[in-house]
Amino acid sequence: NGQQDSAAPANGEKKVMKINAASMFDEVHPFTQTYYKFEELVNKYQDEVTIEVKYNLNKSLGIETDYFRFMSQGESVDLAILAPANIATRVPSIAIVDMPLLFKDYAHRNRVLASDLFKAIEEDVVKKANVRIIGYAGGASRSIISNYPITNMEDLQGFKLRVQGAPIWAKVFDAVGAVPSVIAYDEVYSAIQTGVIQGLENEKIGYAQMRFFEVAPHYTLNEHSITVRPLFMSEKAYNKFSPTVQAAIMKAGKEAGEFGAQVELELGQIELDKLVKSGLANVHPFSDADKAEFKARATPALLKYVEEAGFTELYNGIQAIK
Amino acid sequence: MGSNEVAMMLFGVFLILVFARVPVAFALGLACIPVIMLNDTVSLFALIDRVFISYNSFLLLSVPFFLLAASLMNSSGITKKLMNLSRTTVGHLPGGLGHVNVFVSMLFAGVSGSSTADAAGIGKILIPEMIDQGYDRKFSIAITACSSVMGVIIPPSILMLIWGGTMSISVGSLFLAGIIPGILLGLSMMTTVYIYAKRNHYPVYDKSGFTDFFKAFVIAIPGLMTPLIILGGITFGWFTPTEASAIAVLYTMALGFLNKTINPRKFVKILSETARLTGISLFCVGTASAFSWLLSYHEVPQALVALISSMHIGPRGITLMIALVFLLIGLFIDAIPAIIIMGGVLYPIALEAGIHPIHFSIIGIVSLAFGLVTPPYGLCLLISARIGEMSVHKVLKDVVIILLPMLFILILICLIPDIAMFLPRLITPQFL
Amino acid sequence: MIDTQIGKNTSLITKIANTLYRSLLIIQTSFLGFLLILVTLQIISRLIPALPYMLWTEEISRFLLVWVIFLGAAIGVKENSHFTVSLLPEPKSKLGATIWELSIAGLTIIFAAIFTYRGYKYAKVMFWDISDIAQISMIWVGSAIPVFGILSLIFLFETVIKLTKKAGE
Ligand code: NA
Ligand code: NA
Repeated sequence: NGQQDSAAPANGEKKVMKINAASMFDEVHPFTQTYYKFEELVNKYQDEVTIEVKYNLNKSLGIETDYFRFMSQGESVDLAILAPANIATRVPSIAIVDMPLLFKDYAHRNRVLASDLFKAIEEDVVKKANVRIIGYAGGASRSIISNYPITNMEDLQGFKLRVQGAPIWAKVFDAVGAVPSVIAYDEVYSAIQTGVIQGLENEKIGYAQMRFFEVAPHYTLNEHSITVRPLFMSEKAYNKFSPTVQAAIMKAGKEAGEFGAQVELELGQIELDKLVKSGLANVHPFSDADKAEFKARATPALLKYVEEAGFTELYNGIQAIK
Repeated sequence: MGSNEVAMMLFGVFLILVFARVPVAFALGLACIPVIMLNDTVSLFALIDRVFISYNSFLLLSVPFFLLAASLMNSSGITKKLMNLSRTTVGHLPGGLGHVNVFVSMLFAGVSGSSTADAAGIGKILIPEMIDQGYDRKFSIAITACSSVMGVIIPPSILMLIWGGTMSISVGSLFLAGIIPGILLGLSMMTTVYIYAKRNHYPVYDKSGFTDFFKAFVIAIPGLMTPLIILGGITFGWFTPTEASAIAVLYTMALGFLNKTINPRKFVKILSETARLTGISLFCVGTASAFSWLLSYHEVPQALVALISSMHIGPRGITLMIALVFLLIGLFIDAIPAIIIMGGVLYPIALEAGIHPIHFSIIGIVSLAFGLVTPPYGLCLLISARIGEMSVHKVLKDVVIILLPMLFILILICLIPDIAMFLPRLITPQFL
Repeated sequence: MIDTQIGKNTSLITKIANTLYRSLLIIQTSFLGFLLILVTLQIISRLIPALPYMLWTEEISRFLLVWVIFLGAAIGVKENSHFTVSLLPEPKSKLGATIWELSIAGLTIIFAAIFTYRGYKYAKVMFWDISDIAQISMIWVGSAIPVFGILSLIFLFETVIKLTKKAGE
């Protein structure tokens, strides 16, 4: 790369293209690190243009649902990692990518993502929402966060929690005896402190970065889901590039996503440990028996949803991957 | 375009439009247009989107009910009963009705979250009465307007709900933090009333006996119950703010129907007035959100943080600067849109300087509350002046005289964080 | 309040504007009343365990508030009650004042036109979005934007006609 920089004429003609990336979190969050990695790799994998990424962090442009609308419109935001639930209002099928209790473990999740199973959904997203999945970050487990201790299924009964927008989340938590409601992510903090809800379910890193521990100091390791956080690029931005650059974008996106997943696994635990150490959060175990009961009570609702939404084949395909 | 150009353009166009008497809500939206046109990565979609999304929020839901409850308190006689209680408590001091005016605003502030309802409800009764008894008309209007600012400083407060919600700061702690500053402001106004009374020889009454006080207190109890419902409900999480405000509506409605001060016809009229007031007061929240989004899109907050930290003025200097900025923006804009525009811009500066979020919030809320009585755009002053049938600039001198000691209190709040932090530290240390 | 008495010499646009205005007052007030009933229901359903906890009330209340605000903003255009700052002295001549007011109306028309046209486009996209809880099409909420725009344009059109008439007199 340094060699090209010194080759003045070639470099002088190399066009600089700007891309706007948005995140609700700070510069150390795995999503942001994924963007950094993407910028590094996409310029490594092609020589045609220099892609410069502008980072809009800390909710400066809004929250994930906002990024989705802007990307879909083809303006203001070009690149963002989003929870699939955020775009399920427009593309309901994407909810299955991130369904609770879908993956057996982290390795299973990675094998599914390495397969071709989500291809149809990826195409659907481009068609209906005008955004393109270029990689998959995420990979952390989601657990329950509450303003009172929850250590078993009994404590979960009547627990009022915020869930993501895609209907499957409300159905699953309803089935296990909790009372789910859908609230915008940036209103969750005040919803807990004003008693609208008693908690939510989230990754360790989100728990720390959104300061949810201030209003809900209990983190219960029930691990009901392993996340898939697609890295999206707006179709309008993507189409500005030549096929060569597009290929580099896809390659860089895929690898940046994998990198981000690794970062999130490590960082999430570090952040949670810090909170526990300073006495700001209490971590509660959730026994295997309780996890099994959670799953047993949720499964009928899951299967019913999968069948109604016409995902049976896909769901079985995912479960079939060893 | 760089951050500085964008900031200058947004605020410049806004100020020009506002001075030309374009309604504030539209001026905020129109100011966005040139910036949007000059940038090819943003379109008018952003304007529409930010406006729409800002309304679709559960935080704003409590606003119409707070306004409705306050309006019902005025119609159902609760305000009158609080006033009688105030008379028997402070009516015997020199400048009795002036003290009653301030004291009842403190009580009213404790039962309602809105300052405008305070100015309207108390002003309607006390301004004519004060004039009758020989008080100066200008003074009567000015003290009514100025004392109403306590409405949003002493909890409950619509401003604190919105503030805590938009910036993820504990609302319960904000409520507690507002109590001492609110009482200090009340005392400063009562001192001013005392001096006025001595200089102008305002009438003095006999001290009411304890039985009168006790009677007035008992009669006011149903009204004084409302803060228990709202404050208790929100602080302890029994109800959401929206539910608490709705319960306050139902409660005052019930009181009004029971003592026959309210009938269905009157209720519908109040409901309709509240609906219209809600529309025009919240509409500017939407355009303010678009305005503030453009500021962040062009990284104005970051530029400002860099600028301020290069000035090395220290945390105390920064608290004063924050107060000044909120006072200035409060000259032109209502408090809620001002929070939306400037809160997010100044918060990073406060954090950078090590100012506690609650201290920062109280400085902002008190400064913005002053904006309710400062021209050219001060809603409480407008309302009081309208009731007193006098044009706003004639009462300005008295407003300034009453505001000066209040500004002194604001400076104290800036320099001595404990004034705000004492109660939250004592009662809700887990949020600090 | 606005004098909505219809006399003999009232122009068609004024008649239309006044009829719209009076219906708007009723609709907007009912929306707020309905909002109050919904939140009351929500509280009752929570306090009485026998009743199912209603999730949709929260969402529908928000949607109603969106309508209350947009309709209220349109009513404010008709009543000319949106808050303004009065700092500069009013123009001395009557004609000057009318021209001044016409310019303000013109700027407000630009604003309302954007909300009509872009709001319509925005709402059209929302047709495909389904709300999270009640699972209704978001067009029911989004259409408040162009409705506000059109109503404001009608009211502003009436204002402009009145102002030009006044200038002509
Ligand atoms: Na208050
Ligand atoms: Na002001």
